[in-house]
Amino acid sequence: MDKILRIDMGAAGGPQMKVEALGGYAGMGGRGMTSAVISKEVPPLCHPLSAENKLVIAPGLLSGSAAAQSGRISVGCKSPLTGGIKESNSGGQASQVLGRLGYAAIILEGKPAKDDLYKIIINQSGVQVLADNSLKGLGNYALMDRIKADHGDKVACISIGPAGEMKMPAASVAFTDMEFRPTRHAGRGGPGAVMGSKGVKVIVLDDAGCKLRPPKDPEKFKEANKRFAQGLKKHAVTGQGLPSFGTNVLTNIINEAGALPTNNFTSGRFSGAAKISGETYAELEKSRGGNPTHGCHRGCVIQCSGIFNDKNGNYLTKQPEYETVWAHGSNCGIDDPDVIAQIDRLEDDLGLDTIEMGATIGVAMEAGLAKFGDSEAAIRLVKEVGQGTPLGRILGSGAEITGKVFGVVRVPTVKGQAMPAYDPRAVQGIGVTYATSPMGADHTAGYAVTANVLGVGGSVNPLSAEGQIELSRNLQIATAAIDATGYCLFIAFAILDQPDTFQDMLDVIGAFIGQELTAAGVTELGKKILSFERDFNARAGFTSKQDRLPGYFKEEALPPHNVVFKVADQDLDQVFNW
Amino acid sequence: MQPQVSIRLPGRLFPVFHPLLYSGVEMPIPANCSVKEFLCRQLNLELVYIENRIQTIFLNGRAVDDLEQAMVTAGSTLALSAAMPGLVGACFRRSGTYSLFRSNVTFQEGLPPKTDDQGRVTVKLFNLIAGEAGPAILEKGVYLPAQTLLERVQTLSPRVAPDLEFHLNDEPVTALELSARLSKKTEVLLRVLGTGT
Ligand code: SF4
Repeated sequence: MDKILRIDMGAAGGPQMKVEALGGYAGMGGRGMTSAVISKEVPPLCHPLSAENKLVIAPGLLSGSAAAQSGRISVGCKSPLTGGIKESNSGGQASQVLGRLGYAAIILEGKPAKDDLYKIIINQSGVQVLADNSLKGLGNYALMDRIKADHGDKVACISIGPAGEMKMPAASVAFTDMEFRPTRHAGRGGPGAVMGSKGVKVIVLDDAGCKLRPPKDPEKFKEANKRFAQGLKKHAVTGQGLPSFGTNVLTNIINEAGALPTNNFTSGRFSGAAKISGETYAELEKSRGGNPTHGCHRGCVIQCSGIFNDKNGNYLTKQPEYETVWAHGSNCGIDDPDVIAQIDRLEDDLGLDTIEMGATIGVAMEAGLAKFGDSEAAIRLVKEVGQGTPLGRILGSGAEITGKVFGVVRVPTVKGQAMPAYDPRAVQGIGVTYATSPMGADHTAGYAVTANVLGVGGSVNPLSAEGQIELSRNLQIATAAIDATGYCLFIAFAILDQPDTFQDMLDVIGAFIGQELTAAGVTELGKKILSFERDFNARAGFTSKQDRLPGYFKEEALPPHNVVFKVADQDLDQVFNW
Repeated sequence: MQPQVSIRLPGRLFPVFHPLLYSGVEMPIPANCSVKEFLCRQLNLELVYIENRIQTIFLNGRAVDDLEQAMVTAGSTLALSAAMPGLVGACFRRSGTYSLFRSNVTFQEGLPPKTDDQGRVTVKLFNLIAGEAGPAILEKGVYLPAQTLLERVQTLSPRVAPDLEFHLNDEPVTALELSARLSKKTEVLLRVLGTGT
């Protein structure tokens, strides 16, 4: 991965490509690469859909190698949803393929003068950018059928659905999985709209003839990678819980804790939680010939994903993730696993962020557009988004806009982005991360790797009020660094619990890049990435006033524990004070 | 007296009754005791299993860190889970690094105890724990609403149903007869007995 592909979609005479050396971006991957490029090259005050914005697609540092679990990819831009910097992360095959093709990033720049839609083909022999208006309006599934007919199903694709073409702020960028289905999405923050504004419908990546990226120290790499994979397999979460039930194993637990946002964040408990839990889905999938244990890309050891078949045993969609089950389940009062799976399929097809859409429909239900629990209405509203009706356009603009249009006060957003599946009144620490993350309300911004492992930020006094601030800071630093490597964040639990597995991970990276990596090095990388992001947002006009939860979280008590968010504003302002 | 239902099935089919454990079943509690005592004595779980496997425990919806301090009383709801993924999963782990993140919903001494005239505790088993500890609990016997059991029985897949034998008050019955005879009952005592694989 020693080159960057830039495509100027607005060049006179049609799109122009340029392949260049990494230069100042050497050593950057994933979120490190996307945030460095956006921070350095995009004017912070530009319109997110203008020619000045850029869409950066960057595989993780280890992607394309044999490193287990290293196939995550980052998509960066100035977000049309938040107006700030965005890194949205996804699984799927593209990261590995792009890595093997040798690209550390694809950067889409400019904007076509006409409204032609383009297909980009990247293979070992070069890059082609072809106008293909016959792809207009296609859903991601139909699009993949077309691509398969032309290129076979051994390629990997990055694409947008109709929502991206309509430049909706909730539009995602889709990535194909191992079965060449468009089920993996960089959803948060509307990167699909930016891809749509560049006139790019699909990028086809073909690594035929390419080899795995070789490590600098093959022997050490092989050994460390083997130990790392064994460490993941032997841990209860990464070796058993996630493979058996997927991320939706959380539904029952979060519900029991009274932290499962229900009916647009009016309660932390949902009476139908058990019916839509990961445990129930796993049984349903097995009984219909699906599969609850499946990877989103080759090289995934944990395999938290799965295959969901309909009542007739035919493939419908991937196993819905916890976020989807929450967003379209408890948050909308819906307890039917088949309905949630149908919406999951629709969103993958239309190219929509599942969290943003679920939160938006919750707000729409509160506004009276439908009743909580009305499955048919929920499906109809998502379809309206795909059809681009006036109401669909409003909903496709996300929860905040929808709340404004319909006069709803209870809108669960930070920096314009909808909150994910944990109520911050019950889990205050995650509220700190929602409030302060440069990305807007984001659950993956602070993951389970901490001071104790990385030795960052000093030791936390668990009884002090500052503890939550310090933990959130350390988590955000660690997460930014992991997002740069291409590693899936689900490795976190195993490396948190098993110091040997953490060391094995450092050894894998060290042997790959030929340079010893320490915990301090990881920390520095994380801080550097966050600094890029904070700096961009500051120049885009963000102040500490945007690092806040909506007021009602401090005022409305959340049943069943009747708790409110209590972290003081001045404490939130200390998160990035390192 | 509640009707007594026993269901015999090959051990591999226990998972079809796991949903009952996710939503909760009731068990008697002779006297107030600590969570640890309840797990050891009432649920017959081994200490090493409790320590290593049951990483996430809720008492009345509040995360428990200290198993000896938290008291189970009649009327309580006790939920058991393995370690969970993600930051929030980590938060709810017993005495985990992130337990501070959920201090708002942590079980603390001095919270008013729940009470229940029938002297029962609602037990919920989630994820891996349902598979590992569930069969013994279902064999021992649990109380649940008759309607909940009937819903489960009525939605069993036709591939599974022929392998199940039902008894109502020690009398063999079909699934249909069971439904008819329980339709007006409020509660049942259920035992699920594994018969080989
Ligand atoms: S653990 Fe899940 S999200 Fe992570 S790489 Fe594997 S399937 Fe994808």
